[in-house]
Amino acid sequence: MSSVNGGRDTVSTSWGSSAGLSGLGWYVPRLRLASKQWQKAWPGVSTDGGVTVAVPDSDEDVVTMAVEAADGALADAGISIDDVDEIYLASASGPYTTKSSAAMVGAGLGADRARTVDFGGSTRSIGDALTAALDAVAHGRVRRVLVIGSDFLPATPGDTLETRFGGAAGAAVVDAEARLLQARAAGSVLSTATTHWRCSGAKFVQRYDDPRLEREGSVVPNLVRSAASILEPEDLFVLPGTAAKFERLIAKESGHPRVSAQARTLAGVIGDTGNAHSLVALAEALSEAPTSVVVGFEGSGAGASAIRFTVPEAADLSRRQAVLPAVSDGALIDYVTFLKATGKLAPSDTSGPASPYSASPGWMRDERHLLAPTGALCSACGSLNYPPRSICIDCRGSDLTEVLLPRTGTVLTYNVQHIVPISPEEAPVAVCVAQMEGGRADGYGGKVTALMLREAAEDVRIGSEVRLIFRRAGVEHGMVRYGYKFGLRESSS
Amino acid sequence: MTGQGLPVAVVGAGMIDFGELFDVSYDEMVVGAYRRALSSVDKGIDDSQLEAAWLGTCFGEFIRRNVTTGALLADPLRFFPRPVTRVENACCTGSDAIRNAAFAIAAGIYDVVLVVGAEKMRDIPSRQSLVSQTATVFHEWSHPRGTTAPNRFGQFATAHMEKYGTRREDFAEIAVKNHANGKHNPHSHFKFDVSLEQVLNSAPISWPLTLLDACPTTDGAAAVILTHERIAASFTDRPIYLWGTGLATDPMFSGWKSSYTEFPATASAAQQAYSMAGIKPQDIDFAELHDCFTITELITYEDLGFCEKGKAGAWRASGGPYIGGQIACNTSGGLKAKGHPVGATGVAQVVEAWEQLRGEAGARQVENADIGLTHNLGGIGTIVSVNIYGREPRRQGRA
Repeated sequence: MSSVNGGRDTVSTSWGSSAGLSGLGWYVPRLRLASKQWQKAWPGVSTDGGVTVAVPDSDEDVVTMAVEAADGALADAGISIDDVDEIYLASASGPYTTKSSAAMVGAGLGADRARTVDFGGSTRSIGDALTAALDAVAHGRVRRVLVIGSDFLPATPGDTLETRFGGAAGAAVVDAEARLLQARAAGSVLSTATTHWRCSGAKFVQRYDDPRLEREGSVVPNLVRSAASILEPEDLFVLPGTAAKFERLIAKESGHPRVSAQARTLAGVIGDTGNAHSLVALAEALSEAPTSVVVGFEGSGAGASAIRFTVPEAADLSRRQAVLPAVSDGALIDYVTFLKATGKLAPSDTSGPASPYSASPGWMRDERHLLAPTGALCSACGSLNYPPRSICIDCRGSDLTEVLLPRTGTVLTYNVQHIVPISPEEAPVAVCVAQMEGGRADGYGGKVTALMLREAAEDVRIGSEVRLIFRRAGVEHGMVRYGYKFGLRESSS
Repeated sequence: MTGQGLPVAVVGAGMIDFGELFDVSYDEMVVGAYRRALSSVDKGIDDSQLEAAWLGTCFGEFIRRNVTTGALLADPLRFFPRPVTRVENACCTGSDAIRNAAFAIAAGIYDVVLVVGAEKMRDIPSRQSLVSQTATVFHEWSHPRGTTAPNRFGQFATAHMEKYGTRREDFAEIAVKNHANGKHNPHSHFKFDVSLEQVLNSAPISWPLTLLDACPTTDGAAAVILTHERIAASFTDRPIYLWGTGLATDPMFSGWKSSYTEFPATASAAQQAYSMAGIKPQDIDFAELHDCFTITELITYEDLGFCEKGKAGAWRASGGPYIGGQIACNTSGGLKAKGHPVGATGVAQVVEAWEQLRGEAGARQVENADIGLTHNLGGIGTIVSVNIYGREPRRQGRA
């Protein structure tokens, strides 16, 4: 096989038995754009992906998806955010060029002591974030790292890449216990070759219009080389989003037939989800109950890398939920809905009235309580005061302890707004007041007011059981505001 | 002063016609209301007899003035150097200006004072008005993008329907009633009838509330002249008397409510006023209620004790709040038809009490009107004022 700009150097790392993964989580947004719908808008242009791609709604982005996936990984590992020392976020499509997304993810998770680190620049960054986390744990510098990959790469309207890039987040808890997967070795290939890129200040990804480059010059040869020195015959090879469609070619070129059979199928449903992809694909692959895996990472002119994990004997993979069944009933949308969800089609003025905070000291004072809702629990009467206060709203007690607000509650009342004064929410929206769990329920305290997720707006009733979900809340002064919405809990939906 | 009332009389009351007054400035509205109040004094009054004034204006920023002070009344009236106090207390602004002016008289500081309520609300488009103001006040705490007044009152409607079986029609009919009353009021913003079908089928703004469940955004001003009761006779032989006043508070954040089916501050303010006046709710002949939304008036029937808790729908259906019913409510048309220029609203309610207690209300006159009540509810029941007026001085004994 010829290589236009193949890997020049291969670097290998190996770990003893001192680091691995103890939890995996993933999040795939519910909206789906089908290639068929896309072609109705752009007839005559061939598509570049599978059947559908997953599309984050207008109140979702890399940060909110990352929070959801991280919550899943923490639950899978059976730990809380307080058990995490560091949080790594890998993304090539975060909301900012200059402002940390990892810090916002940490805030949304309620982390108040973890170091947050942004990895980015390429779609292989998630592999490097995992490697760094495994190193940090293996060397005993930290006990536990939460590693998250989250992406939704922006494609130009009408570009066939719109049918290829999907949105998702994947997360892993890295620690020495390695209850799920034991890290063994890693390989890395340096290469500047890429088929798509985005310049500073550019809104959309650009690309070469030459599919041969992926097959012969970058994706396939780089991945194969990065894994060559670590692949064992029994390994299941898990592919990144860029490589999913080359499943058979990679099997052939690597001389390794056990390439995850779901790679192409998963990418065909959710698209190429950048830094999220390898972890979501790994979650899917684990449901095939392998004894060992090699997870590949690739993209964006950074070459490729691969990490080999073995499944500890004590790990029980038999009850793990597969990803595919859970993501195959997404909501199909038309192209106009897609453009609005992705912000490519927006009213000329979506700024709306500024909040009273407007980048003021008031915002800085309250932000912490808003991004990870904190309440003040009254020791005298058990009222959970939210927002936090100095004198209890129920008994006027002054002995209040700051606590993270429980994320679940019950709707006390709601109504449906047909006029929304602040963009970009589209009417109608259901606005709910819920009594949150964890405080007395017979007084003033313990309530949260929030919008219901759009898809659940028609199903909400007084008494519905809800949970708080981290979402975007528009843009002010060019800065993304984040807040919470309610989603129906499974038991009441 | 339990049961003794206050030694305060109203000797003049007047208002300009409410509406969308593009061609009338704030200053001109203030002057208009002042002149009407002065000319309503039966035996005449000289401006120099006014010793002090209170100005109720809630949203100073709506009239492009950074600082709203008493100067906004002193300037256009050339009232110098007499004292003017500006009051801002949400929808209770006008009523609280009267309350504080009455206290100054009761304290023996002044004998004759002026109270003006004025609000210029239509100089800005509706998306910058109260609707979005309330959206931003608690913007961040109401995740993720704020709530609106229709939203918060709509949530009370939903909860009242759920808890008490209140029907959508029960509060829609209040719009029909208030329009029917308001068309007889020459000062009303809206002087037309609406049908139940029109209310139910008007544009949905905040389910279960529709456009016609909401009061309009209105420009307007009103003024009253208060005196110590001992000198009221030098201005008129038919003053009306302030029997009681109450003001109460409740949490301002809709996430801090103890219930979504009642406004506890209304019950508390009413209790203060009933106690001061020495009356029971059933003694009241007519009431001007804060019908910012129809559901607010419905719940207020219960909070004021006009009917049992949870029975407001049935009380309305039995004719209770209609002219000729048990307690005629919003004979002026209320906020719903007369309009709701926030600072002027509470003062304009006294203009209606003045006309009713003096038998001058024409087609909307309540027979044998002896005692009237005015009620304002600010925020989401955050601050509530209740004032009670009588045709005769309280201390000469009636009940």
